[in-house]
Formats: sequence, structure tokens, C-alpha cells
Amino acid sequence: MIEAYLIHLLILIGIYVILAVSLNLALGYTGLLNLGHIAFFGVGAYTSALLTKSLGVPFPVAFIAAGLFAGLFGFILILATKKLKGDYLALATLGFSFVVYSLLLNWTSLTKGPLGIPGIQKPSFFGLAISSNVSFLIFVAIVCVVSCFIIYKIIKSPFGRLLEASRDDEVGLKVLGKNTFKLKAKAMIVSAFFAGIAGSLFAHYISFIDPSSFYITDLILILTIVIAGGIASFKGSIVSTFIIILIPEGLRFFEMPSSILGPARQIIYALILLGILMLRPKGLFGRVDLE
Amino acid sequence: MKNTKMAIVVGMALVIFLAGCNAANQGKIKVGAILPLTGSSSIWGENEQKGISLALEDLKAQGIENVEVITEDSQSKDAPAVTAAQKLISLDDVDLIYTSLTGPSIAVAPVANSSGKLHLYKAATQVPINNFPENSLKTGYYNYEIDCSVFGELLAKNNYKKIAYVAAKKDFSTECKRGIANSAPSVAIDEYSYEVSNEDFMSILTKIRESEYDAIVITGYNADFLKFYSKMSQLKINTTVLCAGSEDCLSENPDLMPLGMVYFGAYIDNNFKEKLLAKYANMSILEQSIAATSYDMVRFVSEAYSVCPSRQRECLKKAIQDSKLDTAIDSEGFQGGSFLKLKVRLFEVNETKGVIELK
Repeated sequence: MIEAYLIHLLILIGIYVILAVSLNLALGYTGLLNLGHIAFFGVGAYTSALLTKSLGVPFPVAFIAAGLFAGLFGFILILATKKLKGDYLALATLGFSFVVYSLLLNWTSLTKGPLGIPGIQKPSFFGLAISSNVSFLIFVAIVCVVSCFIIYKIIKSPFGRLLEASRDDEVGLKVLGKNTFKLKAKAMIVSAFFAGIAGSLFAHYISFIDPSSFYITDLILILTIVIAGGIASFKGSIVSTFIIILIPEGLRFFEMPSSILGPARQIIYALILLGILMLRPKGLFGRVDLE
Repeated sequence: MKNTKMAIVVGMALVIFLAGCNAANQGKIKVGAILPLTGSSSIWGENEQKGISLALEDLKAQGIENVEVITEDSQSKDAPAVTAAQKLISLDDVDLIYTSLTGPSIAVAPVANSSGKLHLYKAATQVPINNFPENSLKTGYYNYEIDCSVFGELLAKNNYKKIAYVAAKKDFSTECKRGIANSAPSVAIDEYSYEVSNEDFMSILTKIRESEYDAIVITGYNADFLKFYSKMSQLKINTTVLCAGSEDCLSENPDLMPLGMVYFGAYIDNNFKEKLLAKYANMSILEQSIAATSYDMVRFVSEAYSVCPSRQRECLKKAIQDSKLDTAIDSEGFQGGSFLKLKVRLFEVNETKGVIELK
């Protein structure tokens, strides 16, 4: 029976790997202090859920649409924050997360607001339903591997090196005649696209979404994964996802009085994270500082 | 050789330990309780814990030790609640799942259903029931659609024509509004929604004062209600307030509550209250009411297990539905239905600033 629990954890890890690696593309490799990633995740989840549930759109179409729609939001965000950098960009993108959260909460005719969307169907491809958790895990694993492969290829390509150059010396790159905004916009769109894909997987796996799943606290989880793994470290994001998701699960097996169980686990979890960052300030595999 | 001996000793110890575990758990039904022990709704989880401990102690005092409750934290969120459910079902092999709060209950419902475990829950809405009617039982808490219809009846009886509906952006607000609209179709409802913990009510109340409503219905949580009352008094608004927040509507300082404020609630058994307060001092009425529902849940399960030693889902469900248990929170039992029908009454803050039942 332990397999069911492990399968569930692996599915969550798969979804969070996509989220973390895609955030690292914008945050780590491009140097965009993007705090709007959770909004892309939410947009993807809602797009996919609404398309399949309300309009009866087949899952593959909804799945791709989730990514494209999130990518569109990424484009809008980078366009709106074109002239911002560093802390200002972080604040603006954080504001964007709040705007999307407010939309999900208040546009009740579309999103059902705080009631959320229950009963989201499991995915199916051309009549082949992915109903069991094992088949869902295989599906998530495929999507995760493909997503990671694409992002890895981007990072290692000449385009990826340009992204890193724009992070390290934007003025220098501009002097060389490169359009750095175009580079950043592409990185943000790709990053948002994969966050949207992860959102679609999340919605169809949990089968219920409401705005509370896409709030600032959930952004902190993804940021923690990226920072603990190391900024601009592809491997770090993947390893860190396993660690950050599995630590609280490991803590479940420490016997504690039920009256202190919840808070005590959270405190231990926080201490472990602090320990990691104190021992390795740049994260587990970090190469650059977050400025 | 030394290593082999060591391995044998460890192996034997493990076998004895596991056998001991099984022996200890024999004759017990396991409940996996997924409670919001941390996060925005931790007040619920903390007090539900107290109710569960008291119920287990009470049963033990009666010589009944047939329930084991394994608690996990939902962090007041949906996805962690699903993870907790998977762990409880897969590793702890629980016989039933109990969840608290609407979101986690809806998220856990399909997991419980697919694993064939009866799902007991506590939420303000009926959504999990609609999705999995054969597998879900609501063992406590108010039903906002039904309970707010009592407000609707009161509004209709008093010939109120127009009300302001100050709604927290939460699932239960939608259900409460539906309950009022259904029971008082002639009453015009102007809605003013607000975000929980993030509203000072000044602009909402200014608009309300200009529009001269017959009554104000408000939904939300204690901190919001207290802020609302305070701003009402500041703006000298005397419109009747109907508070759809049960015991959460109350303030420890009666002077802070608007005169004539009406809320719905259910009585808590005095015997239970005494035992609870003897063990945990200084619990508010709201906290007592939260503890009462989980206390009842454990007793429902204990009783059902004595009827269904096979732990079969359908049998357990039927036993709970048919139970005549004298609940700590005043109720009429399940009456064969899918939720515990609380005996909801209307209470009013009267001139002497006391709370009296509105007949």
C-alpha cells in the first residue's frame, strides 16, 4: 500500500520540478526577479479546468491552451514591466500575482470565486483515460522529462548563454547590439508556458482548485525550491524539489504529541531549510548570487 | 558471524515490535483525521484536537477503547490535505478519513472514495456530498444554505423589503445568500463583498448608511465581525444586524456587539462543556462548539464500530446515519441523511447586553 503514497509524492514532485526549473529559467538564468510565477501556475490550472469542465474541450487541447494562455500572461507581464529592474521588478511581478489571485477570487461568474472548481476530470487522450495514479505518474514523468529537456536545451544553447549574459551585464550586451528586452520576453514567455503546463497537471490531478492554492504562500514554496537548489542551477532545482517536498513527509514519521504536531513539524522544516542555506548560502548547487 | 547474529536479533526485535503493534491495534477502528493544525484556520484544528482527546478519554473511562485517531496536518490547504490522506490510507491503513474545512474536504473526497474509505467531514458547504453522496457524511458544523434560510424567514416575517448583504469572499457566503433568497424571495439583496481580514468596512458602511436598508446580513469570521461592529458604532448606524457566523459572531466584551444583533447557533451540552472547560480552561463559545463537533465524530465512529465490527464502509455509514447518539452539539441526528442536522436556533443580543434565544 505504500506505493500509492509514494506515487502521489512522485506526481507532486514531477509537477514542482516543472515549476521550479521553469522559474529558474527566468529568475536564475535571465536574472528576472519574477514573483509572478504562481500566477502563471494558477492561470494554467484554471484555463485547463474551465476548458475541459465548462466547454468540454478535449484534455490535450486544454493542456496546450493552459501553457499558451499562461505564456500570454507572461508576455503581458514582461511588457508591462519593461522598464523595471531588480527590486522594482520583483514588486511589480508580486503585484501581478495579487492581481491574478484577485481575479480568480472575484470573477465568480467564470471561476466560481472562493467556491472553486470541484470534480475536474482526469486527463484522457483520444479516449484513453489516465484514471489511475500509476498512469498519471507516467504521464507526469513524460511531461516533466520533456519540459526539463526543452529547458535544458534552451539553457545550453547560444540563446541560453545570451540570457546569462543579459543577467550578468545587460549594458554590455546592448552595446553589442543585442535586444535584451526581446531576450527577456522570450525567457519569460517560455517560463510562464511551463508553469501553465504544471498548473494543468495540478488541476487534473487534485481534481479541485480554488484561489487559495495560488496564493503568495505557494509562491514561497517554489522560490524556496529554486533558492535552496541554487540560482541558475538546473540540477539544483531538480534535487531541491525532491528535498523540499520530501522533508515534511519524512517529519510525519517522527512521533509527536498531537497537540504540538502541526506547528512542531513546521518549525523543524524551517530550521532544516535555514540550515541548508547557512551551510550553503548559494544553495546546494548555486553558481550565482541573487541580486 | 557477529553480524549475522546481530541481524537475527534485530530481525526478531522487529517481528516482536510489529506483532506488538498489531496486537495493540487489534479491536480498534482507525480514523485518519486531517485537521488544519497550522495555517489560516489553525484555530479549528487546535480545538478539534481537544474534542478528539476528550472523546477518547471519555470512552476510555467507560471502558471503551475501540477507536484510534491518527492526526495529520492539512496546513489549511487542499494539496497538503490530499498528501495527508494518501499517507493515512496507504501507510496507516485507516478505516475512515475525517477532514475539516471545505477546500480540504472537497480535495480529499475523491481519494477517500477511490480507496473505499468512508469520508467524514466538517465544512460549511455541501459540495463534497454532491460529488460523492455514497461516500461522504458531514458529521458536524452548520449548513449555511439551510441555516441562513432561517434569516430569510425572519426577514419575510418582519416585512423587510431591502437588505445589505455584506459577504466575505468565501464559499459559505454564496450558500448563505442562496438560503436567504430561497426563503425570502421578495426581499431585495444588495451585496457588498469583502476580503477576509483585509477590510476596514468604512466605505461599505458609508454606502449602506446612504441606502437605508431594513437590515444588514454579514458573513465572515470573528475578527471581521468585531471590526464591522466597531465601525457601525463609529458611524452611528443602528440598522438590525443578522450575523451569519454562528458563535463566531460573539465578542467576549458584550458592549462591542450591536444591540439587537441576531445570529444562529446551536446549544452545547452542559455536561460536555463542564468536562471540556475542566480540561482546557478559557475556551470561547466558538472554540467549545468546534471541539464539540469532533468530540461527536469520535463517538459516532465508536458507536458505529460496535455495530459493524467488520468495518465495512456501507455498514459504518448506515450505523452513523441511524445513530441516536446524544450529541454534544444540539442536533437531531442524521435522520438517515448525509449530514448531521443541528438544532439551529436564533439568538439575540438584548438590551441588557446579554444573549438570549429568540423565540
